[in-house]
Parts: sequence; structure tokens; C-alpha cells
Amino acid sequence: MASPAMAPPAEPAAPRWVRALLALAVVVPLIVASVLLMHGGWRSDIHGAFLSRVRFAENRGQLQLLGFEYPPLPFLLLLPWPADLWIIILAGAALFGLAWMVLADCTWQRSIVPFVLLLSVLWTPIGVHLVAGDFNEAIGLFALYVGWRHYRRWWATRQTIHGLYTGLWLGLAFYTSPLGLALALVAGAVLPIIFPRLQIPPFASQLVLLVFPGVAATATWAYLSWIFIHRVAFPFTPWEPASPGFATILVWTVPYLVVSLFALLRPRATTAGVLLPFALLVLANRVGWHFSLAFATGLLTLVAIVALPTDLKSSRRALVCAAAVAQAIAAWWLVPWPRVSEADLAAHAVADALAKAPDRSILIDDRFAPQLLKWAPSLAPYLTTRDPGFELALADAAAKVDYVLITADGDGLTLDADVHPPIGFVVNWSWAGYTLYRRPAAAQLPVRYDAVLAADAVVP
Amino acid sequence: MSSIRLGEYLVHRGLISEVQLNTALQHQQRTGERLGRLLLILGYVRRLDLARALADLWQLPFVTVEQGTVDPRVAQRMPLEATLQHRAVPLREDARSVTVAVADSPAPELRSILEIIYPGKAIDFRVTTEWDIDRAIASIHRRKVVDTSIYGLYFRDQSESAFTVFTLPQYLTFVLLCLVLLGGLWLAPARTLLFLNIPITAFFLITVIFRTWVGVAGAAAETAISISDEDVRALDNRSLPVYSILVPVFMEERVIGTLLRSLAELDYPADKLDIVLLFEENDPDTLAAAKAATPGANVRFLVVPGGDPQTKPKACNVGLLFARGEYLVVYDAEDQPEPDQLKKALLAFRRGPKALVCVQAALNYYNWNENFLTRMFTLEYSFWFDYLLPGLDRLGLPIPLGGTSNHFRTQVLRELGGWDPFNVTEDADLGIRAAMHGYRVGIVNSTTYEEANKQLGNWLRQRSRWIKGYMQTALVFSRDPYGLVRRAGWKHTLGFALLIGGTPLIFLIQPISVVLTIVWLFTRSSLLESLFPPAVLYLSLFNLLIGNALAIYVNMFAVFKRKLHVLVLFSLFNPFYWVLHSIASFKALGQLFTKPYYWEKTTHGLTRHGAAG
Repeated sequence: MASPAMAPPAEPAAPRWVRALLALAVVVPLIVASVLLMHGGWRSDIHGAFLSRVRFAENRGQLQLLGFEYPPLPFLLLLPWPADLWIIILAGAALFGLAWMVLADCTWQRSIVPFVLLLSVLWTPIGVHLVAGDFNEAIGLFALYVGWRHYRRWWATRQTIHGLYTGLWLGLAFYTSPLGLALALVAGAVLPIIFPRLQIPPFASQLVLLVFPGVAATATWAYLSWIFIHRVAFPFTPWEPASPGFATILVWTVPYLVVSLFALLRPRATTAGVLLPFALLVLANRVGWHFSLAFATGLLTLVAIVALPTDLKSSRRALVCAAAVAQAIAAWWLVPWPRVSEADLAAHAVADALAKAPDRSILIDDRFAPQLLKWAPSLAPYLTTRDPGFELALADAAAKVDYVLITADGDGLTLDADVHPPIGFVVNWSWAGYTLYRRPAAAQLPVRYDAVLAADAVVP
Repeated sequence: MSSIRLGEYLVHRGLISEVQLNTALQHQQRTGERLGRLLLILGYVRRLDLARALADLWQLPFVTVEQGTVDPRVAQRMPLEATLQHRAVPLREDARSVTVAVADSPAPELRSILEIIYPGKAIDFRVTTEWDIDRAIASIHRRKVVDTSIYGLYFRDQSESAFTVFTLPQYLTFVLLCLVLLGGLWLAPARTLLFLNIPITAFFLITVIFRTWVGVAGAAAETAISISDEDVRALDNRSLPVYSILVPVFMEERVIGTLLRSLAELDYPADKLDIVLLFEENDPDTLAAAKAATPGANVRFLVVPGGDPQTKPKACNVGLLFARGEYLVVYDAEDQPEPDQLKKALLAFRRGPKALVCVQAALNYYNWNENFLTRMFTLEYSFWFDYLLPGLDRLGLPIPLGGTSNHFRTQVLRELGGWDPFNVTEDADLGIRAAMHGYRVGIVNSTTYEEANKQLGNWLRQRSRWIKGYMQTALVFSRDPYGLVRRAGWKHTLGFALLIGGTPLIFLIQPISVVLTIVWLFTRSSLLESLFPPAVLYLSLFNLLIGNALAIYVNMFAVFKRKLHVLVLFSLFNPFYWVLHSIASFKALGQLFTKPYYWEKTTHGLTRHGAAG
């Protein structure tokens, strides 16, 4: 992190339209790639989970059916328009904001290195993940970076408005990632290092100011989940694969390591601010807070940008740039481009077929059908475990629903439907791990068995 | 008559020494003030001696204006305004001449006016002291002074006076709403309560957003250029105008000495200060205490003629009549303004737009750490004056003036009609009135330290008065909503509605929300579900959780900015403090119907703490 003396001026000198154009130029390729992926039939599991939850809550007209799972911000942001395009717009806006601020840092530092560092992350499959894979992390990075920048200004100017913004942005970041609160704690904890003569009352009050929004956000979420679902659902991200390990993070944050090395060669009070975020990520992994490699890389790259000394020799600047470029090339080489799986294609085809069913006519155990629901354009046809009539339907399916769907993951319905059709139902079709039973009087819901054949045609 | 001649004459008469004359002349070079006034301020000459010397130099007889020496019928023929402007009091007349007492060398303009009022009469000027003049004016024009100070605004524009509490349309609307509500509760209670809950929830939400928005704007105002110490030092004392300080005092004998000391510490040339202490007729103790404190020669005592309502704004209106300054400020008896406040305010006027009629200094408390109540009060004031008012200023919204330390352009204040004596928050009312007339109210980065209420009863009395005043102000300006929007525009009107109308309303409906929340938490009663359909429930939860957290958080920063670090955590107790506001609000509502003009006196001098700094 920068020293107080390094804090940027309130308004950088670069013309706004130049910055806007450049920031747009950074984001547009990511948006285009994401739109192509979307049209190619690819949707990340995380976005699928967000969309299915939001569509479900909207269809039932009850916000609490979002499930009060953490993090909440992506759900709330998707409420106005739960669609892929809206996700891409939101992620693009967040990354546009990031690029805008990094360009401001470039102007202030009179260096292009921050911009190169940013591009080395964004213009790779890692960057595409932030838009097409997990827009929540893009928003989280944006909020954390804004919080950081205000934190630096707070050091430098002592103007309370920047402290206020720091707390608010870190509090908002908490709604995307628990790291918001953790970083607020770190930001508060390092204050005595930055200001060695800081006395206890001002230190304590500043710590409270930094941490309060995060704590309030935690308490709010805990309270809401308690009153709506009678348990504190925090933090809980069932769809997230395991976070990258210590070694993986190190491998994919070479520019950060180089900048950290420079910081360690000239240790100062603010060096702790450079190293602590990495330690936080490692700790977060240990305690089960999930994040992706893209998030870790993005976060540490932003730390590197903030920590870049302004008086860095040109040879060292070149070294940082070289590390960034090398990492970007490696990313293109090693990080796989998103590809549509056959399972996804099948689930998509099944979801499309079931979309024609009447409301609440398909009995399904949604806990075992995330991949199917990820593609469901509407949750209206399904009677799920979260619906009030689910238990009744389970007891007397033929009287309550027209269809019963068994997924590849297991029926979960205790109807022995994987052994024989439920009483009063016949097999409509069984394909790609899904079996649809229907009442004899119910309409057929044909599925396109050829859907998986298109799998190779969706890579942009 | 030149200053040198006055000085030489006084030395010649042995009334001052050469050294004193030289000192005064040096002061004169720095401030440009008249020598006679300087000698008075420096305490080198007695007021009576000075007047006698001036009479000699002007070759006019000296006169002492006492009870019985003035013929009221003669004096009252000269209008009060002209009398005050020229500080001249006609004493008596005979067939050939009229005798007029003056404290200044008679100007040709005064002579012309007198010749019009007393045609064909020779003007026989006599010299007297300024104090005699003021006393005579207050005595001769007593009825006019009382009427002007009480009914001045009412006769100027009834629609802007709180004399009428409810207009007929307001009253009918109120009755109609009550009837509709009662009817609804009788016929369809659940639906009626739901329809009541929806606007309440929406109002809470809007208030949360509005206050946060204004608070953040106020915090950002910190980054704007304010008046620096260098700016103040660069001021040329000779360019400073006369500044009037009005201090209405009633039963303040305990703090009057401290007040005079604080005023003496103001960084403003003493000879350019016109300090007017306004006493009530029925309060001889405070007058006696003030006399015992032996104030400087720039302090005038004015006894406000009795008459209902006996309120601070009425006293201020009397002070406004007699004020001589180009600018004017109002302080309370227990106030301790920062020494450079007048200069900062002056600079704010000079740098601000022509429409800037008033600048408000921040208020805070020197006894902030006395007990829980003073701590919470300080938290509240820090937010109000350091964040909210600067935020309103930054956003160009109307600013309700707060209590004291309001600095005015005197002439514009007179044009606005002064303070409304029927409004118990006359300051807030005046700020809004100024905005509605197209004037601006600004903020100046200086603080006046006051005494925070440390006793609950005293606090409730003061707070209920303030809230009642806000209710009065809201009623006054909502008499003609369409006209208000037309005159002030939507932005001003909404700002006014949310702040002035919204503040009492939020405290009145807050207990209902608190009770409902507690009932639900403990009973989980399904009866409440009909009141909170999903959308209303989510908004209510937002208000409860996010709204309160935001209010607390912004408040934390306000005290942090004041470097009152210990108070940061006290901000968490704000919800309990707001309950006290609600109690005060209900008291205020009751008084609005029963005793609308009643001024709940706040007792000062209860603190055990010394002054700030």
C-alpha cells in the first residue's frame, strides 16, 4: 500500500474522456467474449445458481426464497433483470470502474505500469472469468479497490469523507465477499504501523469506523436469515469449487510477488499493507471462505498497483511489466477457455422442454438439480422443496402434480422413482441422466435428444 | 469636527491624558473608528463627559434626557424608523421651535426630516448620550416597539406568521384525515392499517436516503475551501463594518458574567462591536448581574417592553430595531463563540453571493463528557452542524437555522420581517423563510460552544419546544403548497418537507415501528403479517437494519471529525436517544394544540464544567 505522502490528488489531471475511452477499450473485449460465450450456450455454474435462485424468488413473489445464502449482493443486483446480458453489463460496469481508477493512478504515478498490470489480468481467460464466470467477484474487486483508494486518501488528507467512504465501500464489499470485513480489520489494524504516534482513543475509534459497516452488514445478514429461514446462513456458497491453494495463488501472481519483493527491499511502515492481503487469502482458504483464482489474482494485482513505488527505477518497472506480460501469456496458454459440457447441453435441452409445463406441475427435488435449474428460463413449472405444497405433493404425487422429474444426481424424492415410476405415473422419457414421469392424462413434454451434438460448435 | 480637536479638547479639559490620546489615535489608524467611540471603548473617558465635550465642540447645549423631560406627543410625531435611523429624539416644542436631543452631530438629512415633521419651527438641537437616546426611544415608542416586535411579521404577511396555528383548510384536512382513519379502522381495520403502513414505510425509506445523502454531502463539504486562519489574518481592520451582537437573556444571572467574558474575547475591533443585551422587564436579577459584571462601553442594555408572547424572537426583534451594525449575530447567554467567528462570517458574506443573507456557525458543547445525555446531545449536534447543515448548503437546499450564532445582513433581515415571535423555533423558521424568498443561507467553519443539557427534564423541555417549532414552521409553509412550489421550486420544497416536516413526523411514528418490531420478535404473531406484505416487509427491514446502521455510522464520523473519539462508540446508543426524541415529540404535539406559543425555558448554568478550550 502507498504511504501517506504517496496519496493521489483528489482529481487526477487526465482528461475524463480519454480515461473513459481507454477504460471502455479495456472492458469491451471482455464483454464481447462473454456475449459470444453466452450465445454459444455457456453459462457458469455460479451464474446459473444466482439466476435460478432469483428467478425462483421472483416467480414466487417472496424475496426470502433467495435462500439468504451468502453473498447477497449478486442476488439483489439480479432482481431487476435476471438475465445473462444483465450480468455481463454489471460485471462490465464494475471492471470499467476498476480500469477508470487504475488509469487515474497511472496519471498520478506518471507511469503506464499500473495499466499494464491490470491488462495482464483482464485481457486473459482470468479476466473473462470475472465477467462471464463470476460477476460477483468483479463487483467485489471494484468495491475493495474503491475502499482502498479512499483509505489511502484518508491517511493522506485526514478528511473524514474518505474514511466514511472507506467504511461504506468495504461494508458493501462484504456483501460480495467476507474479505470486505477482513480487509477492513486489516486496514484498521495497520494504522498504528502507519502512524506510530497514534494514541489509543483515535486508533480505537478509527478501527471502529473501518469495521462497523462490515460488522453491521454481517449482523444484518445474520438477522435476516434468522428471521426468514430460522438459521444463520453465513457464509455459505455451495456451488463454489474449492478455492485455489497457496502455491497456485503464488504461481498466478508473479507481478504482485515482484512488487512485494521491491517493498521488502525497502521496508517501511506500509509494507505490511502489501503483504497482509496475501496472508488473508491464504487464511480465507483455510477457514473455508471461497474465492476463485481470478479473484485472488485480481485482488493481488490491485494490491501491486497500489503498492507500486512512484520512484521505481525504469529497469525495475520493466521487470514488473515483463512479469505481467509473461503471466498473461502463461494464462492464455494454461488457463482453459470455458467450454460447454455435454451435461450442460443436455440440462439445457431438458430445461427448455420442461419450460412448457403448467405452473407447479413438475415435482422436483431442487437440491439435486442445480444443473437443470441453472438453465430453466422460469421456475414456474416446478414444485420444489421450498414451495409450501411440496410435502403434500410428495405424499400424493398423482393428485397434486402432472410430472415427476428425477435427476442424474439421485431422486431425493423418496418415491423410489429411480426403481419404478411413482404410483399413477408413466415414463415420459429418460435421457442423459434425467427421467421424466408424467400422469397418463398429462401432455407429453418432448425433449431434443440431438442437443448435445452441438457441443463442439459453441467455442467462440 | 475633527478627531484631533476632540482629543485636544479632552486633554485640555483634563478628561484624558496625552498618552491615552496617543494610544487611541494609534487604534484609530488601525481600525478607522471615530475617536470618541474609541476613547469610550478603551475606558479612558466616561460617556457623560464625552457627550458634554462633544456638545461644547459642536457648540450645542447638553441635555440629560430623563423621565418627564420628553413630551411624548411631540416625540411620537417623528416616526420610530426615522428616530432609530438618526438617533434623534424630539423632546418638546413651543410656538417657535422644537427641541431635539441627538447623540451625533446633526446631519442635514435629519434637519430636513425634522422640518417636514415640524413645519415652520426652528430646530433646537441638544446633545446627549447614546444610552439616553435609546432609553428615550424605547420609552416613548413603547407601544410601537412592542407591536413591531410582536406583530411586525404578521402585519407584513400573515401567511408567514405562526400566529395562526392551523388555517381553516389545514384544520379541515386534519379532521377529515382523522375521520377517514377512524372510519377505516371501524370498517376494515386490517386494510386500513396496511394502507397506513405503506406510506409510513415509504416515508422512513425516503428519510433514510435523504439524510444519508445530505450527511455524505456534508462530509464531502469538508473538502471544499473554507475560510482559513490566513484569510482571517489578512483582513484589514479598517475595512471592518460595525457588527451588532444580540444576546437575549432571561433568568440568566448565573451565566451572564461568562457570556460577557466570551464576547470580550472576540477577535474583532471592540469599537466596531455593537453588543446589545436584551433583558426582559420582569427579570431584574439578570439585569443587575449584568451591571455588576461591568461590561465594556460597547455593550448596550435594552429592556424589552413586556407583552405576550414573551419569547426570544420578540426580544430579538426589539434588538433588531436598535441594532446599528451592518451585520448582526444572535448568541445565547451561555454561548462561547470561537474568537474569529465574526471575521469568518464577514468573509463568508463577502465571498458569497449577493443573495447570501445569513451564515450559520456550527454549535457544539463544551460539557460533552458530563453524562450520557450530554454525550448523546453532542453526537447529535456534531452530525447536525458538521454534516447535515453543510450538506444542505452544498446541495443548495434550505437550511433551518440553529439556535444561535446566526449571522445576518441586518438590512435584509429587516426586509424579511425579522423573527416570528409566535414560532418557538424562530431561527429554523427564518432560515426557511429566507430560502423561500430567494435568499441563501450558508455555513461558516467556526464553532460556538454551548452548554449541553445534562438533566432529562430540562432536555425534554428544550427538545419539545424545538419540535413544536418545527411543527409550527411546517404548518406555516404548507398553508399554500402550490404557492410554495411555485416560489421555491420542487427541490427546496422537498428539502423543506423532509427536514422540517419530516423530523417531527419521524419521531412521532417511530415508536409505532419500535413497538411492532418488539411485539413481532417476542410473539411472532401472524396478525402482523397482514400489515407487512412482502414489499412492505423488505422495505421495513431495510429501514430498520440498513437505515439505522447508516444513521449511526454517519454520526460516528461526525464526532470523529470533532476528534471526540470517545463518543464514536456512543453512537451505537442512538436508537435509545431517539426514543427520548419521540417522547418530546408527543409532548410537542400536545402543546401545539394547547399552548402553541408557550416558550419552554431551558435552564442554563447547570454544568460543572468549564468553558471549551
